[in-house]
Order: sequence, then structure tokens, then C-alpha cells
Amino acid sequence: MLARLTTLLLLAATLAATAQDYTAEQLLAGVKAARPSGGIYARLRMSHTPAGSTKPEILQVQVKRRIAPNGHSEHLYQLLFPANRKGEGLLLKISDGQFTGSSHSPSSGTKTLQPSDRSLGLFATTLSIDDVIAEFLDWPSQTLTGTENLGNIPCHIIESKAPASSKSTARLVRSWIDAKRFVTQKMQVFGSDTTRPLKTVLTEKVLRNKTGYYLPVTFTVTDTATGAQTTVEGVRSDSDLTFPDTAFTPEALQTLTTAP
Amino acid sequence: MTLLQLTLKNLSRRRVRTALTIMGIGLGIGAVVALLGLAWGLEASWTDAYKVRKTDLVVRRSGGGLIAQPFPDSASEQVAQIPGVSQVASLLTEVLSIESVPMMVVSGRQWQSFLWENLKIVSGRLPTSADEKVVVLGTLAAEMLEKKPGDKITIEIDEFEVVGIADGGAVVENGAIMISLPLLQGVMQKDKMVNFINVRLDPKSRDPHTVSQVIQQHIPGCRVDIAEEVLSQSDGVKTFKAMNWGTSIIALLVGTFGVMNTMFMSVFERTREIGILLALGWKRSRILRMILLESVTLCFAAGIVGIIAGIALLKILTLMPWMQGRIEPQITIELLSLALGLAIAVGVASGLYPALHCTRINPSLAIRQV
Amino acid sequence: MPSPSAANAPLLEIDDVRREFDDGQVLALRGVNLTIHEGEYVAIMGSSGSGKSTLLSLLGALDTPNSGEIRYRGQSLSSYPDLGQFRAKHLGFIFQSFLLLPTLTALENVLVPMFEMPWSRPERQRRAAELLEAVGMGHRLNHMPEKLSGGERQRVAIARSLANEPSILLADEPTGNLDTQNAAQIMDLLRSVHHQRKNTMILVTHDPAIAKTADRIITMRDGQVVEDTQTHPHTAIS
Ligand SMILES: Nc1ncnc2c1ncn2[C@@H]1O[C@H](COP(=O)(O)OP(=O)(O)OP(=O)(O)O)[C@@H](O)[C@H]1O
Ligand SMILES: [Mg+2]
Repeated sequence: MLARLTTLLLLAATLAATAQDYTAEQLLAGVKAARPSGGIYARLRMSHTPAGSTKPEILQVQVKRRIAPNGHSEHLYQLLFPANRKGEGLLLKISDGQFTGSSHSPSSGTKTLQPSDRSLGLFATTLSIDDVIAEFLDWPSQTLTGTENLGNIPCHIIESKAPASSKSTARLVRSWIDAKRFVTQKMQVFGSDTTRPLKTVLTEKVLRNKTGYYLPVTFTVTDTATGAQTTVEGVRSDSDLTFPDTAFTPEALQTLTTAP
Repeated sequence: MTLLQLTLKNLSRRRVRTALTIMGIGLGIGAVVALLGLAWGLEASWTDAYKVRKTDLVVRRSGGGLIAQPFPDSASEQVAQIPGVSQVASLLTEVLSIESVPMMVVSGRQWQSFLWENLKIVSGRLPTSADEKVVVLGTLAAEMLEKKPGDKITIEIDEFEVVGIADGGAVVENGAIMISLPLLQGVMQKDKMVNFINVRLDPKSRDPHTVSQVIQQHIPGCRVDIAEEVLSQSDGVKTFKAMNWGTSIIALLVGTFGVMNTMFMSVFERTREIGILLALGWKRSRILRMILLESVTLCFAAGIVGIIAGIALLKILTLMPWMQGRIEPQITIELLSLALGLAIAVGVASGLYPALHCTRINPSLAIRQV
Repeated sequence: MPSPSAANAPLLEIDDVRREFDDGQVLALRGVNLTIHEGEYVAIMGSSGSGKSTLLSLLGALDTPNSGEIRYRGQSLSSYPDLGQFRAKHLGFIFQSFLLLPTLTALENVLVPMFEMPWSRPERQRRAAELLEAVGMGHRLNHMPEKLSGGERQRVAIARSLANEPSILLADEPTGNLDTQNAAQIMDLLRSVHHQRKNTMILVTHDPAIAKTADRIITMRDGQVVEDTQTHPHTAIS
């Protein structure tokens, strides 16, 4: 009786194990699939604690995003609050890990982004353009290096190595992916020194969207060198929107409009 | 010397045990005070909101979970036509992150509707027209946002001037930003959309249940809540209250057994003394009264301790940033008397068995005990 | 003050009383017959385990017999609805180990039996103080029992036994825990109480000298009365 029970348990365990045996590519595909394909409008509340400070600075931000007809990913970030910085904005057009775009501020006008602006913080937070592009998802070298429980969430650890051609400041990205919900729970971004991460990203809250995918809605980006931290919190969002092409032009940076 | 004095002497014999027992049941009573205070507060804060607005019925779209889904404002005209309805006022209510406050209710109110009547201006003024680009803040909202009349406030992409701070007479009102309906519809790009219609009934009209049925028939897909019942009927509140009662009862049960244990220990070690009292002619009913009085006194003291602890806990909770503007705990005479009543009931319940045990003591055997 | 005729009347009648313990394994009293008269001073003697205390418990209505009957002034104790009330009205107890309530002062100990008496609070206080005064403890009213000597404790216990003005005093080896000198003083006190109050006193003792001071000596063995001698003529009869 006991012997049969043990066999049964072992069998069940093996089955469960095989069901969870993903490849790194499958996991990343899962994470990418969760990203909405249609246009989205999101309101973020960012709370940025600069290095050496304890008092967070609150930023209210609106984000518009779409996949343009040419397949490029287009992002528009605009600052709503604090009032003295209202209207600051960033436009990004991303393809193949490369980006073009403009930045805008009411006082100094619109500027075209240079490739060197890649590590620029979004509204001077620890969240950089490089992070937003998240190019590492497409890097060819992806290895599953192990599993670890974060809290009570079992995660697979994937190491993504940058190819020589990549312009990203990140040379290695280690991600902890919750394989049940395909949500990145934690990330470490390394430069050439692969012992000390440049940045860590920690997911704090995950929500299920209308289409049934899970998305991180609150996460914190920490600059490990300075200790500066930015917590990004999704306040609300609208998906499946259709934006006109004019919504992602340098001119669009100069006006504030909400979701269409 | 009275029975009470005797009781106090008996209780003070084992001070540590008495104190620990009081703490034990006191915590239970404290939990009751805190949990019920919250539950009642939650209920009161919402029913209050409708009470201060003198709203009898609330029409909304059925389904849609926690956040009420918008629907065309034209429905309000239909509702106004229904017999028994005296006044209607439409609302667009949004929960937004405003400046540094993570979540705040923004209440877009139909201009010149009764929804502006209950706002007592504390400082500044009300808007002068529907499209004056201004807002009025509830007193709590003003505190949280750190604004005063004359300040600017950013709501989504637009900037408004704070013209007044108002006391709405209910926590839900005071924690909100009041703005004229068309302005909020503009900000949210929800032209001519609302998510609530507040209805006032004719004082002499048919009862709210009938009117609400008629509204439901006239406007497909809507749900009508009777203001007085809104909260007590909501599943969330029902669960919240059930959970609070459940927790309270468990806390009290644990406490009851604690007191019973203490009383049993105390009567067991006093078997001989009780035998002496019986030998000296004490009636069994007097022994019963003495033991009951001991456990009731114990629990009464615990009730006082619990009430103080519960109030303290609620005060601490109200100071928490995430509680502000959501629930104002209700510390009412009813709650305190309920807590004290429960304490005494626990005292009787836990003392009865040990006391009955005492009355069955055989004095000659008890006296023999060494 | 009992009249001579009343004094001759039987106060307590014990009629073939049996008491067994442990389901009949211990036969503590095996058919006791006795009549005790009003105002008598009776000493009960006997070896250890002979049933003296058991008999006293039954006489004091602290316990009930397995068979037989005890009558008080002709009325069976089993017919009393509340033996507590009977004790409260008619009985005073004195024990070998004093049995004072440890948390109460001397005065409070004397007040305890008065809970059942229909007296006002000041009246009780006055009576309790008077009683303690009478037993020579007037200077120790507010002392706790643990602060008193054995002899003093027994005095308080005697005062307490008198608190309800009992017609019968039952004392189970009242001097058993005392040294000779204290024992003698306590016995003097008890005898003077008996003389002054003229109540019935039943006293269990191992001391023949003490027993000799009684009007009557009852000797027990193995749960039975084996000897019953009148040493002095009953005071009330003489
Ligand atoms: N509750 C009881 N359970 C069992 N046996 C008992 C109980 N009470 C008394 N006995 C027994 O009954 C007998 C008479 O006991 P009792 O206490 O009356 O003796 P006593 O004459 O008072 O002795 P002593 O002089 O030692 O006080 C003894 O054998 C005693 O062991
Ligand atoms: Mg004895």
C-alpha cells in the first residue's frame, strides 16, 4: 500500500516537474506575449528617492505606446506633476535594440536624442531609456541557469548575454521569471563587471489585465552604485487604443492630451 | 465587609494571575472594539455620505466590479420622469492618483444639483459656474494634498485652482475633490458620461423599493441601490462584518476559556476555604454569587482595559496614512456598552461552571483536605 | 436561658446512624445511638480512626449518614430543605487546625458567618468586635491570621464560632495543635463560654484531663459508642 502510494507520488512529482520544464526562449516568449500589442495609455505614479535622500519625490506621468505600422515600437512619456516640471516629455521609437527620438522640456524646448542618451534617466529617475527598450529580451544568448523561490514564488533564473553588436550598457541581465504567470519578479543588470549589478529591479505588485496576462504594475528600480531608487506604480491604463501617427511626433511632445 | 470586598480580596491574592487573565480577555475585548469600530465606521461613512446628500436611491450600471462603469447621462432625464422621483443629480466619480496622494476620489457633480447643497464652505467659496476651472476640496482632501484656496492643483493633464475647502459632513465627502461634472468629463475624456445618478424621492411618494423597481424596468442594464441599504447589502461589507464578528467571537471564546481556567484553578485551590464557608453556614447560592462576582469583576476590569486598548488601536489606525480619508472608526456609546456587555457576559459564562462546581462541594470532605 | 424542662428535653437524637466511605470499604460509623440534651457539655474520646470526626460532621450537618436518622429538637435533619441554613442558625464550629480564612483579618473572619444573619452592618461590626474582645483578642482586630500565634488563632476561631449565636458548639480537638499552656487557656475559655452562654458543647479530645471537665464522656471504638459515662451531674439538672 505504502509502496504504491510512494510510486504514485513520485510519478506525480515527475509529471509536475516536466510540465514546468521550459526553455529560456519559451519563458521569454511568455513574458513578451504578456505585453499588449494594441495601443495603450497608462498613468504612472513614480516615486523617486535620489541618492542620499530619504524623502521621495512624486512624479505623475502619462505614457502612450503603440506598435507603429512599420513594426517599430513607439513610446511617449509626459510629466504631469510636479507643476514646475509639467510638460517635460520623451519620445522614443525603438527597433532592433536601436532608438531614435526627442526629449522636451517647456523651458529648454525640444532636442533630438543621441545614441549616447541611452543611459539617460526617464525624468531624471533611475529608470533609463536603456531599461525601457529592454533589448535583452531579443539577445540571442539566453541560458536557464537555475531556479529559486522569491518569497513563495518559484522562479526560473535566466541569464541573457549581450552580443558584441549591442549598444546597451548592459552586458548581462539576470532575470527571475515566475513560470506560472510569466512575470519577471526580479532583475539584475550587469555591465562589464558581472559580479556587481549596476541596477536591480524588483517587482512589488502584479495584476492580471483584461486579456488574462499578468503584468508587473509596481516595481522598484535601484541604482546599486548610488542607492537612488525609483518606484513605478501603474495607477490606471487603457488598452487596445488606436493613436494617430501624429501622437508620436516631436510636435506631440509640446502638448498634453489624454487617451483618445 | 461586603461580598464585593471579599471578591476583590480574593482576586488580589494572586495578582499576577489576575493581571494576566485581565490582559487575556482584555485583548479579546480590545479586538472586538477595534474590529467593530472599523466595521461600523465603514458602514457609517458611506451611509453618512448618502444621508448628508439626502439621497434616497443610487442608480448605476450593473456589473463592473468595484469601479462603477460609466453610462450616458441621458439616463438621468429618464429617471427624473419616473413618478415618485423628486430630484436627480448625476455624478462622475473617479479614483485617481492626484499629485503626491496615491489614491483620491474625484467627484464630478452635476452643476446646480443638490449634490452641492451639503457642502459647508470652511474657507474660500464654491465655483460660480459649471465651467469655471476650479475645484473645491473636502477638508480631509485639503489636508492630504496640503492645499488652501488659491493654490493650483493638477488633475491628470489639467490644472485647476482650489477655490474653496468644504465640510461635506461625511468622511467620504471630506476625502474627495469636488468638481463640476462637465469639467471632470473633459479631463477624463468621458463626454456626457456619468457613473452614478443620485435620486431624491418625493417625501410622500411610494416606498423606495417600488420606485427602484420602476427605474430598473425603464433603464435596462442599470442597478438601483437604496441608499440606506447600500452598504449593509454589499457583499464586501457583509464579508468584512462577518470576518470581524468571526474574529471577535474567536477572541472572546479564547478569552472565555482563559477566564474559566483561571476561575477553576482559583476554586480548586480554595476548595477547603469554600468548605469552611459552607460550614460557617453560607448558603450555596451565596458561594455561587461570590464566584460569579469574581469572574464578572475580572471581566469587567478586562472590559475597561479592552476598551482603552481598542480605542488606542483605532486611534493608531486612523493615524496611518493608508487609512486617512477611508474609514473614520466609530467609537460610540453603543459600541462601548456592547463591549462592556460582552465582557460581563463572558464573566458570567466563564464563571458559571466553576461556581456550580463549588456549590457541589461537600463541606466535611473539603475541610478534611490539607 | 433554657428552662429546666427544656434542658431535659433531647436536643440531638442520633438513631442507628451509619456512615461508610469508599463504597462500603470503610465503615466509619457502624450504628451509633446517642441522645444529647440541651446545655450538655459532652466530650467524645476514642482512638484515632474510631469515627469521632465523622460523627461530629454528621451532628454538624456537614455530612449526611448512609442510614439512620439524626433529629434536632425532634425534627429529622433529612427533612431540612437547606442544611446550610440549619448550620447558620444553630451551629458553631471549632477545628483543630483553626481554619481561619487566610486573606481576611481577625475581625473579618468573625464577620463571615454574619453574612447570613439579619443584622445591619454597624451591628455586625459591633458584635464581631465584642466577641473578639470577649476572647481576649480585642487588641488584634485587624491582624491577618498568619501574624497570630496558634493560641490567638484559636481564640479568633472561637469568636467566629459564636458569631451566629449558636445553640450548639462543635469542637474537634480544639487544642490538638497547641502547647499545654495555650491548650489550658483555650479550654478555660471554652468552658467559660459554655457557662456564660449555656449552649450545648460537644468536644472531641484525646486528652483525658480535658475530657474529665465535661459533664459526660462518650468513648468510641471502631465506629461505635462503647462507653457513655456521666462524670458530673448535668448543670441544668442539678
Ligand atoms: N472521606 C473519607 N473517605 C474515606 N475514608 C474516610 C473518610 N473520612 C473518614 N474516613 C475513615 O473513617 C474512619 C473514621 O475517621 P474519623 O476521621 O472519623 O476518625 P477520628 O476518630 O476522627 O480519628 P482522629 O482521632 O485521628 O481524628 C477512619 O478509618 C477514616 O480513615
Ligand atoms: Mg478526627
